[in-house]
Amino acid sequence: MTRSTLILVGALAALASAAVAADRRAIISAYGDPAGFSAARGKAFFEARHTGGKPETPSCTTCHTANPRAEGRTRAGKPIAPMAVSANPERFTDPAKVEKWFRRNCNSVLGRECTAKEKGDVLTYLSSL
Amino acid sequence: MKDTAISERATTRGEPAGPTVGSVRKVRVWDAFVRLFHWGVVACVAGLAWTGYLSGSIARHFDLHVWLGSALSVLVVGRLVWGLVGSRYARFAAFPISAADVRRHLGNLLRGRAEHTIGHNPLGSLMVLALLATLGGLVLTGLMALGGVFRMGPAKGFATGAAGDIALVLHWWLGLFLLGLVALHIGGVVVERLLGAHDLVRAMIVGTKRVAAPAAAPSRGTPPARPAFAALVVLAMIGGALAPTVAVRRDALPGAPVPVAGSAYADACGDCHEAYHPSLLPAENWHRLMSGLEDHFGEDASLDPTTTARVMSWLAAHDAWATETKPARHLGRRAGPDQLRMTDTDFWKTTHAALGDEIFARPPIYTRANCSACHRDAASGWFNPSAIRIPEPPAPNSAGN
Repeated sequence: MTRSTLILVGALAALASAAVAADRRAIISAYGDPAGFSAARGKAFFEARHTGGKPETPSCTTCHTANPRAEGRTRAGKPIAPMAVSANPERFTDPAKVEKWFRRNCNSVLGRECTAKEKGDVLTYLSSL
Repeated sequence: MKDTAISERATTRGEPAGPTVGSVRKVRVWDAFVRLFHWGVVACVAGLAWTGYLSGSIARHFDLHVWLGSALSVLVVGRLVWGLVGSRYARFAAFPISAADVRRHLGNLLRGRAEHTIGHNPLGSLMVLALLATLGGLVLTGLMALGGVFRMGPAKGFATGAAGDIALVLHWWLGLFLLGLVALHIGGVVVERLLGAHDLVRAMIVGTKRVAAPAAAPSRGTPPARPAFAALVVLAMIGGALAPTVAVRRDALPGAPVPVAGSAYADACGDCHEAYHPSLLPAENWHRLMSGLEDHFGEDASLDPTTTARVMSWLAAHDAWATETKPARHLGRRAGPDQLRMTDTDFWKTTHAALGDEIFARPPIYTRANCSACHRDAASGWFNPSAIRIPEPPAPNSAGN
């Protein structure tokens, strides 16, 4: 591999990761002004024990654990890839997937849909780690 | 009977008779194959009885059981052929099993007298035939069970599941019957020894018996043994069993479980749990399950209507009734209408009854819902007994690291 090829590959990789980051920003922006979201609030929401949902799943941490950089585990024993973007760069790059899991998991944990603000806070928190 | 004297001379001449000491001479009774057969069967049956009954878990020793059974089947086929074309005392035609022979032997036993026979004595001959018939029955029922229940071996192409189930029950009882016969067989050898007859065990090891010269009274002339022919028949039988075993691919059989990977079902359902094989429930149960995804065992697992319909029709097309495997027939088809978890079925509970909570809680199992943690081939739907590997508990001192 020549030096120019290496540079080209490196540049492409950087470009791709920039594109991914742009996707993620777009997904967060879809829930509101990013400046209005708070990683601290997202962390508190992520770790809180909620009521109103199904008794088996009182918190995000039930499956994802309190350490989003680590692997989680579903109640059926299947590993869940880390939620933190730093540990798993693929997180929050597919808007349909993000919406699917917010819809299901908010209903499981809180017994209702999450608000746009709650979603933005959680995504901001998980992207900041 | 009138030509006895002539034929005896004719047959004894060719035999490797040992040196005559007084009126006793050494006769080669059991040739190398008969002895190899006998002790080979002893070893196989011991291993088969251990794997099949005593070990307490045939599933854990399934492969060994099948291999020992295969070895046994070769020995039995060989002995049956040898009974027709083998050496003199090995031939079934030479067995003294006429009513008169048996009556005389019984009379001798009652009077406490030994029966002096060079080959098998009358009751011993009957026992040999009973043992061979039972072993043959075990081989046949074993092959049918392997083919019908597990879709393996030479019978997998034609044995139905129902036939395999029946064969397996027969196999189990025949095995016990065989152990009973073995006990009687050993008892018979001990009794003959106590009555002062030959040391039958020694004869079966070294192959010769010391016989009082006048007692060495064979009846008819025996054609020479044909080992090459016998070997050819045995090889043909082995080839005839191996060919369909290898040529017929199990996954190409009608009713083979569908591959799950890449299906809409695996994509939609495989995120939270392993994609349980569709053959593990009947279509009605899948329908009920797919109709309640908003509360799916305590979680919201809802899908959009299009995906739900697509997944449902795929599950229905490959359900327990569409699949011919042991788990489909015994677990899936017998699931009650309210049993949406495979672990609620009677079959699951029975087959997993010996496993304690500690095992299921153990990483990387964590839960009874994690089939593939132990069943390495769970995704295929086959659930082979030999694919089971229960993970060992983690070492106690590694927990802190």
